[in-house]
Amino acid sequence: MTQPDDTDVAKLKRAWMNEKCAPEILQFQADLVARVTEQVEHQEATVSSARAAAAAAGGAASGGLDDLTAHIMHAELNRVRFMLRSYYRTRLHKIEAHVVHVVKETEVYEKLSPQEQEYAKDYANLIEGHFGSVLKDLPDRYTSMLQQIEEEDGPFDMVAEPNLDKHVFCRIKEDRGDFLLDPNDPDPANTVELNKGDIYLIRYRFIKGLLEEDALELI
Amino acid sequence: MSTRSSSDLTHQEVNFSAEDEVVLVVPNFSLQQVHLLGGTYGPFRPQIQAAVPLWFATILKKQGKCCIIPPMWLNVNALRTVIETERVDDVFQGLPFHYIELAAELCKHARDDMIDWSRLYDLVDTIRSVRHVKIQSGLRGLNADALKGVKLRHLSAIEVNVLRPFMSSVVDHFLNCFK
Repeated sequence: MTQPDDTDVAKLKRAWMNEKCAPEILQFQADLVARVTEQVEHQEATVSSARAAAAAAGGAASGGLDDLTAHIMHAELNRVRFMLRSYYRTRLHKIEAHVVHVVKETEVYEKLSPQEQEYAKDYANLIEGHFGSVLKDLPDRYTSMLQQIEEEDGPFDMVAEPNLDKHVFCRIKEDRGDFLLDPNDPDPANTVELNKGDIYLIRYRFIKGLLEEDALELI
Repeated sequence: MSTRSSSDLTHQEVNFSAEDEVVLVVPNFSLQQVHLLGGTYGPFRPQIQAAVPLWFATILKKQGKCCIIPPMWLNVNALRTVIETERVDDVFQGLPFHYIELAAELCKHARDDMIDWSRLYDLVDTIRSVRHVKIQSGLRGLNADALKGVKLRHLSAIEVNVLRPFMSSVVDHFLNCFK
């Protein structure tokens, strides 16, 4: 038995866990986070007004919430706020780890919230300024932060990127039968049978699509 | 062992996650429904069973306001059967995803609600070590097929988290050898 899994708090927990376990930054859950934040603020107001009323009544039980209910609500709020904070921090950690990649790739950049985009840009500028103070003293073609040897059309070979080939643990949420791992390699031997409830250790790149479809969750 | 970075899931966080599992309590007080963000619980009446998340039950228990009913699988006979089949069978037995955390938490906070809690604690610990040995021998059998995904049916949350730093980096390195 678990708590109902259709509440926003339960969805936040899933988003938090997925974000924790995925090597790359995932789509920011803007609507979900906004709803949870609003619910938390509303519940906070309920708890503090109940406590204020109880204090005014000299500790005696008043018309609103009793002490125990307020205590339990407060405990839940702490749990939800912890998840929200951890969700934000995990994302910031990933942005910092791959900041050039995040700012450079439009597809990745669009997964961030407006505040995260601003943070990523500021952070990238700081890093550039910081590295630049040392790099400017190096010989001519070695002053780039992005390339080992500066070349006009050369690849950016010094940009840290998330490792999509990392292996992750996941739990399947819906039956998918024989699932083709690599669309570029349609060999029937390269399929795995995915059944609900199964746990797999698998390459993140293979299941990235299924994660976006919510057909599995990372654990 | 690879080092942990700040984004890795810690055992405390797995424990936090387990505290959302629902348990049955028998309250000794009356209280109307409690509307929480994660669901509505109650109403509570003395001697009438109610289902609440573990963190909720722990608060009530600490205030002496309820007994916690141990889940069905957490009894001496059931656990003994699990140990026996776990020893002879190749597959992992179906235990709750958070069985280790639930047993530990209940043995800590609700031991007076359980018959012979220390025995139960030991049995769960035995299951855990029997399964750990199985996991280790399973690791020895990994081959190139592991790159297509390793199926780990019925592995529990803590077991995943213990295995994660080692096993995922092993298969990562394995993949690099084939590139």
